[in-house]
Amino acid sequence: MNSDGPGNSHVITRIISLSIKNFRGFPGEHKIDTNADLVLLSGPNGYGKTSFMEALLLLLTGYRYAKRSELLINKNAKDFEIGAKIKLDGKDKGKSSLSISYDRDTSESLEELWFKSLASCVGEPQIRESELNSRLCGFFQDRVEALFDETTSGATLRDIFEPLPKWLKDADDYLRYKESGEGGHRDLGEAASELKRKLENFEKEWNARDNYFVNRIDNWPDNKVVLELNQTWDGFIPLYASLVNGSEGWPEPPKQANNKNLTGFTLKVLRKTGNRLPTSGTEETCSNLPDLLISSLNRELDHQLKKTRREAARTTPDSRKIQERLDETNAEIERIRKKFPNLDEELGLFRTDSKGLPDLKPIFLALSENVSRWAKTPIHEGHLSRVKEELEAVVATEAEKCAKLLDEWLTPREEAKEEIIKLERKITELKRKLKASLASDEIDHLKKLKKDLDICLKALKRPWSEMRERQGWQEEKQRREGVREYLKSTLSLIERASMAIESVSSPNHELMEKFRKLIQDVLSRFSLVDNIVPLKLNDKERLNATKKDEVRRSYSIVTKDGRRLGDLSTGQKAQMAVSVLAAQNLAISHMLHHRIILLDDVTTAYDLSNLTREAILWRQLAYGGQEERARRQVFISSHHEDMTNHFLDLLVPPEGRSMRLIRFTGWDPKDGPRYKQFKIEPTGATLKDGELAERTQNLIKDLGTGPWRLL
Amino acid sequence: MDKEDGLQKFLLKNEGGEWVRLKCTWLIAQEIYMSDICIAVHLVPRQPRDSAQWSLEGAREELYTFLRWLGHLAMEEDLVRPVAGVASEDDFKKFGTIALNGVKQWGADQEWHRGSFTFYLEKDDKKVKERLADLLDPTPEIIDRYEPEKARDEEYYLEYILEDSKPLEIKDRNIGLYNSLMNSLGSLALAKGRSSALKEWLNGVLNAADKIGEGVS
Repeated sequence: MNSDGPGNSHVITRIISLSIKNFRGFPGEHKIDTNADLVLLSGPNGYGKTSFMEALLLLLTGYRYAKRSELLINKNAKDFEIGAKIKLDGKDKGKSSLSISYDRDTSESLEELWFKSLASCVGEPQIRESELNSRLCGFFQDRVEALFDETTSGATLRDIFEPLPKWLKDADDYLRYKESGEGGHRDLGEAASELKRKLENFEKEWNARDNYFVNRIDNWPDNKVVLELNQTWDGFIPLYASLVNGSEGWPEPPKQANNKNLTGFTLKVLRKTGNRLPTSGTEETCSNLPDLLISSLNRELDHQLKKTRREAARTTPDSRKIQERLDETNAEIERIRKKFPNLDEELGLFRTDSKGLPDLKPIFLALSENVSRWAKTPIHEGHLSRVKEELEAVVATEAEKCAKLLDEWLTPREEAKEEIIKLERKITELKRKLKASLASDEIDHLKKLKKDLDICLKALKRPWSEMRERQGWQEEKQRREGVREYLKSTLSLIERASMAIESVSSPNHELMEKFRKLIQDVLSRFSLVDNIVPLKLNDKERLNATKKDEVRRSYSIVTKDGRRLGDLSTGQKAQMAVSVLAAQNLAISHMLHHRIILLDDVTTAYDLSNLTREAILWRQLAYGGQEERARRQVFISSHHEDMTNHFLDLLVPPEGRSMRLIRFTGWDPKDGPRYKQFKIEPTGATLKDGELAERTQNLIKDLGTGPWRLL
Repeated sequence: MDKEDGLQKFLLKNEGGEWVRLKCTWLIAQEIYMSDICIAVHLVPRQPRDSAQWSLEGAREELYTFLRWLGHLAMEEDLVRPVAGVASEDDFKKFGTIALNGVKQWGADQEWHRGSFTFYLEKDDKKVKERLADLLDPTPEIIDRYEPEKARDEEYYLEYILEDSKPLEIKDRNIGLYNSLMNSLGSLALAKGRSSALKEWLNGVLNAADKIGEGVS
């Protein structure tokens, strides 16, 4: 351990003196000199030793074993105060005193008060948790159970060194991917389970499809499909030619039938007929392309049929007869026209140009029939006499003759004209009938074409669709590889991530081993029964102590023969607790803000035979290191008189180190504890230069005077 | 300097500079050491003369009286220290299992000397030297064995996972997958676990698998 390593800039290396006022068994004010490397407190139970230790623990760590802070106040007072004159070791010298006071009316918690007090003295502690701080420095025999990480609900040493964030555990749960060799047992989180299920479902589906196609190919081999396609295509080409009948814009059908050619042709037909592909799928993947071709051509045929039918609806068939009648009628017209080559001109000769006036013939007829009467008409007005004269000049019989002559010349011509008009009407009608008769044949032709095309296209669809499906299957098989690779890559990534998470969440074995060795080294100073060491430490997740954002973990202690903490005797548990405390204190020293160890009633954990071993450890901690930061100020209390005296002998400090004995001799409710304080002189402290070597030689000489002989 | 090498400075030597060795009937005090912490003696059994049976009881009596006497003499010279005896199992094996088990018992149950000193029985000579060094050294042995640990934090965990999850094959798709998962983990860490980032990531992967199957890039 590097005592000058990273850590608090100020470290409390010594409690020079401690003042206690109205705290637990200390009514009134008491000031106790503690300025020594090791302070031994002795005296019977109930004389204030534990109150002294608890006061020091509260001042250093903010922790109280009492359930409520008020219980710490002496029953005759309403507040308490603990203060210490301290020695600081650090780059900057900080305050030389530390204190904490509490009264019943204060709103702040003891922990908050402690934190403030400490922060103003040595800066904010790296370990904030009071309870953990207390377990790192204070042993209390009557609360030995609370000294172990595995039994506390608070933070632990592991939580400081290797905190496990809850998100990491959540990620571990979700991405977990464990496969054990035995029976292929798997422990999978949601992600791997989902992906495996997905892949399995795919494989099942793919397998079914493969079987389906293999069966189909067995029954209908590929070469036969190709043959059938080409045969039906050959039948399609003339039907198609008949359908388009030389119309512009229709695509040329490919000579060879394969999916690529047919697809291209179909797309061109669709464009020509104004059809579009369905929104789902591409030109290549559109599964109903054959159906689209069929429906497209059918629609074109239907369109043509509809148009032709409309024509045919107004007519009757038998065009040949109509044509003959048409020819006859035309010949009759020709014959008339030959007889009266200038018929229309001749008919116009005696017609009046002016509108509303009669032609010449009726004029003659009118004169022949009426002129005699008109001439006899009495005329009184002079100016009409001229009309009468003219009428009297007309010969009625001559007028009649003219009318007759004109009628004989005009009548055959007028009749010829009427006949021509009649024949022409007849021709129009016959032409219409002839046209209708011809449309009816077209309908029959189109109907037959539709039927043939339908049969052909359906025949074409079967091998073509099959070919397309098989081609789609082959393409799908290629895509499957992509899916497999993708899902397997993802699973592989999850497996790696899961292993990484497990690895980083798993105990820091190096740390665990160091810590185990530390505990064991301290523990082995006790004279242990067999099967305790070597110890094992197990990883323990304390679910009951899980924090909001962090999973609490600790090590659980197991002895060589598999006994856990709960299986140990009281003495063994106490020995284990002392060892764990010393080990933790040393392990985490660089993060602690003080170098104090408190051991209340610790001799209970010891047999007489352990005393020497433990004394050596405390001597090393209290007297050993050259630098103050490397040493501990050790406070030990004991109520066992014999053991205390023996301990006292064993802890006598060497030259340059110091020890104090505080002997509690009585207690009363008003004044609290009575105690005597002693400074224990270091051994050899009075020796002058050279005397140590002389004493040592004396010792060597004396050794050879007994039953043992110098060699 | 190795701790065991440092033992020399604690070795008791006579005025002639020779280290002090003592013998009795059943035991030999091979080396005697003294530091500010304690006085420690390396004890070995003494091979009895004329093929007499080595006495377990006799040896324990000698051990008891010698170590008590040593502590007493030290106190008289104002060199008050705890006293420890250390021996190796290997040295006692030649006297048979009963003798060896008896010596082991001295180390395990020390009620017999009532805490006047302490006695350690180690496996072999190397362990004896280590124990002596540990006892005599002014600083506890465990201090030297412990290096300060750096506390782990979020960054440590994420970096570890990032490094350990890297794809073995560097394909675009693998890198894309890796980056997307790591981003999701980062989001999860940032949100202190209160995020559905991983679930969203998985849904994205499942959808992507469907699209690859459908031929949609």
